[in-house]
Amino acid sequence: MRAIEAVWPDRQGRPRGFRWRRRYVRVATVLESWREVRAWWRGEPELRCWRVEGEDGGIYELAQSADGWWMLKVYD
Amino acid sequence: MAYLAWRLGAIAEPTVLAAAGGSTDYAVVRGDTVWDVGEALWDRGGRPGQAFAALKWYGGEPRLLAWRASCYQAVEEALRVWLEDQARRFALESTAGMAGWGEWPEADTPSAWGSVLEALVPRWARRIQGGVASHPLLARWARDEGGAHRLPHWTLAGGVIYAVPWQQEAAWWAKLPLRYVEDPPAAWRRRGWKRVGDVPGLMEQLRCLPPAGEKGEAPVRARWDRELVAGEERWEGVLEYFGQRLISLLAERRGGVLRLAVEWQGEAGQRLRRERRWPEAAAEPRRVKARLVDLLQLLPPWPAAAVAVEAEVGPIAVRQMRWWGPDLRPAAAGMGTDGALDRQEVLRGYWDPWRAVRRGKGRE
Amino acid sequence: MAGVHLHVHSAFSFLEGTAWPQRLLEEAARQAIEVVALTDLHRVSGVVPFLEAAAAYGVKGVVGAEVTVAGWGRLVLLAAGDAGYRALSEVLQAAHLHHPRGAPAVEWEDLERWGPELVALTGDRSGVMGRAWWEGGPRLMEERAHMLQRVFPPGRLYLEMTASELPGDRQFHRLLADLGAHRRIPLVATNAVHYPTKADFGLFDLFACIRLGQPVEAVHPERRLNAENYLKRWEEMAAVLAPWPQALRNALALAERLEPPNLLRRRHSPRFPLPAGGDPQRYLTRLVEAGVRRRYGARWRAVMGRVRQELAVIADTGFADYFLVVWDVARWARRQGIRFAGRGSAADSVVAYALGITAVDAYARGLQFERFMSRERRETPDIDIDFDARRRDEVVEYVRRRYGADRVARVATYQTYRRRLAVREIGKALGFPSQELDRLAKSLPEAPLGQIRERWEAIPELRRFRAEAARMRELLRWAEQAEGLPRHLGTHLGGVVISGEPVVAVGPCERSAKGEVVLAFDKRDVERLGLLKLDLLALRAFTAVEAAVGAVRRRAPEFSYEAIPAEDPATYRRLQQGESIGVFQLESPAQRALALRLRPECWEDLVASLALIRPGPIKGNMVDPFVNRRRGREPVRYPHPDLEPILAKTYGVVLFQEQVIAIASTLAGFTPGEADALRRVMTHGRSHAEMARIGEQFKAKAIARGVEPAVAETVFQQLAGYASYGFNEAHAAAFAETAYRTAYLLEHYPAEYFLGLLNAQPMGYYPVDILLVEARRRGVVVEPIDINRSAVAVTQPAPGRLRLGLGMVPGLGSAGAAAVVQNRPAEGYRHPVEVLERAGLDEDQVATLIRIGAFDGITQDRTGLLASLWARDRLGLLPPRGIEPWPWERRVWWDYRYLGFGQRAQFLAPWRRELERQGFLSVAAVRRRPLGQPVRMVATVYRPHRPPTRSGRLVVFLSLYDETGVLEAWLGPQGYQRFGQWLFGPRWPWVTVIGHVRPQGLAIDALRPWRPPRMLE
Repeated sequence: MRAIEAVWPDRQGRPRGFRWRRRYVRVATVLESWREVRAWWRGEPELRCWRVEGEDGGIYELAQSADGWWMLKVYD
Repeated sequence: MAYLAWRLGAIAEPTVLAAAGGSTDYAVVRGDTVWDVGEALWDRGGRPGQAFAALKWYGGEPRLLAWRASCYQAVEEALRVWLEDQARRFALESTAGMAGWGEWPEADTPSAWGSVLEALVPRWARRIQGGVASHPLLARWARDEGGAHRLPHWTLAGGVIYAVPWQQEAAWWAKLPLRYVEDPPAAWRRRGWKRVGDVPGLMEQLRCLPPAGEKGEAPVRARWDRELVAGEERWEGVLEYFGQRLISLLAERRGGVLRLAVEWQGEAGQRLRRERRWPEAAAEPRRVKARLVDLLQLLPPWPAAAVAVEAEVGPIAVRQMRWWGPDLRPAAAGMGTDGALDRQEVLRGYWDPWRAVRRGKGRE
Repeated sequence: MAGVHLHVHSAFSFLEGTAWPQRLLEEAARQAIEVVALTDLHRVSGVVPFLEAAAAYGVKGVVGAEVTVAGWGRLVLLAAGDAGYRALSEVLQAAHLHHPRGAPAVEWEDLERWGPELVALTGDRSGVMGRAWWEGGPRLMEERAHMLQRVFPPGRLYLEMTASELPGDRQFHRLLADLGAHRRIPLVATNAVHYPTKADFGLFDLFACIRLGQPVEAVHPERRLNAENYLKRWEEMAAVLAPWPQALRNALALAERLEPPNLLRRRHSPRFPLPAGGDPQRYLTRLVEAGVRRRYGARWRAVMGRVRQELAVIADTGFADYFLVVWDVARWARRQGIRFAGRGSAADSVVAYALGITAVDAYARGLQFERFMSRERRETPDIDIDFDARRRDEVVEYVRRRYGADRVARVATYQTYRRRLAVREIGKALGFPSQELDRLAKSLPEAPLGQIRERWEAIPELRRFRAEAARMRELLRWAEQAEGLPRHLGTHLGGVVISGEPVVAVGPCERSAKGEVVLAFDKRDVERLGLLKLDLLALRAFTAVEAAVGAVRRRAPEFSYEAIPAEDPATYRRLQQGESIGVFQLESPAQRALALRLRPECWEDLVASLALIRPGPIKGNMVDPFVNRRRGREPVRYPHPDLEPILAKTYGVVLFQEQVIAIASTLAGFTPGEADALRRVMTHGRSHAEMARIGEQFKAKAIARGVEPAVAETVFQQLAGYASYGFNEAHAAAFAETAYRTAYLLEHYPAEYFLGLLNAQPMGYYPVDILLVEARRRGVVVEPIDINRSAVAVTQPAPGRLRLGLGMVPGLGSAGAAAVVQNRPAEGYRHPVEVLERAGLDEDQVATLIRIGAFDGITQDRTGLLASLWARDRLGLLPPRGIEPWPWERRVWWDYRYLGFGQRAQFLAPWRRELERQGFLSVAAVRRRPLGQPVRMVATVYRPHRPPTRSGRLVVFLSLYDETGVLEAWLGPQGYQRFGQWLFGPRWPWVTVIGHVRPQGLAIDALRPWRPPRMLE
């Protein structure tokens, strides 16, 4: 997972836009949101994930944990 | 007849010998099990691996010493170094005491076996019990119970070797106790199966699999390069290309992929290299592909002109094969010991329909 | 806002739930949840604690279960009221009994049959809709919904949406809503709860790993992706399921409609089959009157007053049927010649005595009926009967036939997570190597896990794990949470319920590990559910008695166990000398030591002995005063003259619970029922404030009856001190019956009695090795196992001689032994290979037989036989090694090595001459030494143990024995420090001992292991 440079969430915490690979991507639709508990026995923090469609046509999966925002996967 | 198994006794470990105070009548005990015995106790019948409670039948007044982890490390290291040099393949057993087996393809006479094992004595131990057979499992069993089963034997300095005559091998395979097989499923014991001959199909499986062991010879390495035609090259094609070559190499060498490296090269000479090593070799095609995917899925930020893949091949541990038997289901790809696909990704795949539909696409 | 949760798992889902029902309800109350439905996996076993806790927390508790529908996935079934509960129970029972154990599933026919009475929710991702969606999409979902609608009428089927926040939920929920609209099936919101709070997810995940047999690092489709399945507040549920307000509304409405079944205030008495129009109470009365006449003869009139009182209580509490059932069982067992005896508090009843259920004359002993039953005590009486272990199952079968298999069930017991198992399983899931876990599990001291975690540093046994302290403590944290949770369903040893209507109306049955059908409730819950339980226990001592009596009657057919004369002096003499090894309940070292001091001469002494040797009286310092008074060394005093008739038989010492009842009622005027209630409170509820309160009540009432305050105070202190230690006199008396009779057999028919004991093993305090020593001391000749002369069991070929049986050979088992005997040719086996072939044994088994000398009758060349066995040399072509007979000492050696006990002689016998030369005494010689003398001996150690002592000092007690007998010995605290290592942990069984002779045995001063001077390979 790579850290996302910056994310702009709305009031409910959903991402409205983010900067990735030096480009700003605005979120067109939130396709899905879910939570994950990862390797809790190793102390990994929980994740809150969103799968969003960017206005650039790409589909991104963003994850927020106690340590910040990460990019899980990019589909294009 | 290339596999020699040994069990050492009266190991030449200075701290232990000091604690024994010059006596040769001692036993090093770890929990309820005997870990090492002095010559005098060995000669009376005591052996590493026996239960402590059995020692009373061998008499004498052995001094009881407590095992400590630090004790035997130096000897084990030295032995390992020697084995890496001398044996084509070898493995040290993790049960009580210092025991193991090695492959010496050229040794096929009693004197040859003797000279191999005598190298261990008295350098690292003063007693040795050995077994010889055409497979390490048989060799270990011959070593442990050759006496009880009256196998042909030869004496060495400090011990004895038992050999399984090749004409009788099939019969001896059938009698091999299941405790020599790694990780037998509990269902076998519940069914009352005690020997290899009881389990249908197991004997053939064992005899065909190459026995795992630490490498004694140089690892097999390979590298393939491929030019990429801009605009036309599809990632799946690249994957296919390398995948096929890798899998046929593995089949040829009867091994699994241990390490992979990928190198992308750009038109302007840029390079991006990524490498990964796994604790266990994988040979099953889906796992191999998954490992390749893991490395290839990170594309460089610039257009690539060529890509190369390097692979290192190692032996497959016998344990990795799931025993095909009436009770066991085959292990599904992507589960368990494979570390290739990110663990979390695999777990997500069981819950997220998006991933079930579009497997392989998407990248980090 | 108040919420509801209609899909909740407790720890009774075994590894799919982490919390007791009480804890779930506590958390629910905290989260303002008003209605909780308990839906454990294929079980309703938690329903009693659930309903009780629900009432306590003010939450409405609804009952249901989650089931697996064969081939489809899971379905949540909820029961509305009593009819629904019955339907649920039927479905669960069918799921268990029609499928292999461990894999219950509901078949479509069962759903069709019982579904209409139930409400169904379609489950979470592992439910029928979730699986349909994953495997086949909307079309399959619709097909299945259609089929479900044919079973569940409108208003009884709901499409379940969980607030689990999983990827894919959007799509799934949208499809469910569409389907619901299209087929008119309402939605319902749940959270598929498996643990009370998010923090408990760790334990749930570890349980999943244990279930799947995988370490926590592995992945598997059944490992949850997130930790959302807890008791969420309604606001959270509403936030997650915001797009589907109708699901939320429907959940609230459904929860409103459902009512819990009425389970806890019922009684399901068995119906004893009587002729038409017969009244159970009248029938019982007639039987009892006849029995009283039989038991008491001319004195029957005197007893009738008491009998009528008992019958009145039975009538008022409505248990006549129960007594008839038990009477009938006893009568049948007697007719079948199955040895039995009633035990426990039932022996407080003259009615039980008259009915032939117990053998204790409660009237003559003045036993208090209220200890067994009273109007004040609302619980059902509990009758326990011991049967000959081999035939107990026949009795259960009889009960089943008589009342109907559907009205009789065995009772379950929950095996809970023990700390060692918890540490091992959770540790394995966390990836600890098994050797390490083994060591940790064995090193844990006896304190609660929480304490151990906190004081890790201070515990010496755990110091060696210091490097891993952090990980280990984490492990212990989880193990502590798992400890005590139910893990398996096992069968309670003897509990059987008999109900007037089919048991399935009360709950479902399933199969235990041994394949028996059990009612899936713990025995305490069974009583709360209003079922009457009978304990039909298996007692091996009766098996021994049966075998012994059979052997005696072969020589003396007129012998009758029942007609054994009371008060036989020879029997008491033997007991007085502490020679009671083998005697039921009186053979332990503590009992034998007591007998030496007490010198029992009569029945009462035996009853008292049984009551005295228990941790309570020993700690309460009752043994010494009792013994001293009994032997006339202390004067007997009564605090109040009214207490004399009650305490005379125990010389003024309060020993029995019945005495506590009698005292409270005599002195303070409590009715016996109230007095029993008092006794129970004193025993169980021992807070300082409560005891003080009871004390005041007692004293006030006593004083009101004219007792002096100081006396009242003294008496109360005595009662309070002894109440929890007192023993049930009836139970002691019942046991004394058997104890006395077995002592009689031991005295007058030693060979036959030892035959009985050997054939009923394992049982008793002492091992076979010691039993053989005792038998030989009594002059019994013991002949070793012989391939051609032994049967499976021990037999008696001639008076005073016993032949040991093939069933005793390790690795052979009764099947192997039977095979040897059945296939034995008329002229006997001639060679081990013949046994191999004819009896179907394997080589290891035959090798064991050779090594223990079973073939000595054919040839003594054991080595040669072994060689020819391995070479399958049937014709004996390999020459025998040498036919000198093996020396006796070598054969004894091999007996111990390969058989485990001395069938020819005790281990030390061959060394006796040498030992004597070296100045070591035998046990018999030590016994003859004057008191206080120092002695040296070599002996075998048996059962060293460290029981709690009165003073709290750590004393080790052990038995020392050789071929001349058994000697009890002990080692004080310093001795334990210096020599304890030779007794505990891996050790050799033979020791050199230096000590002093005392009246109770040997006080050990020093101890070392002893090794035989020669090894006899």
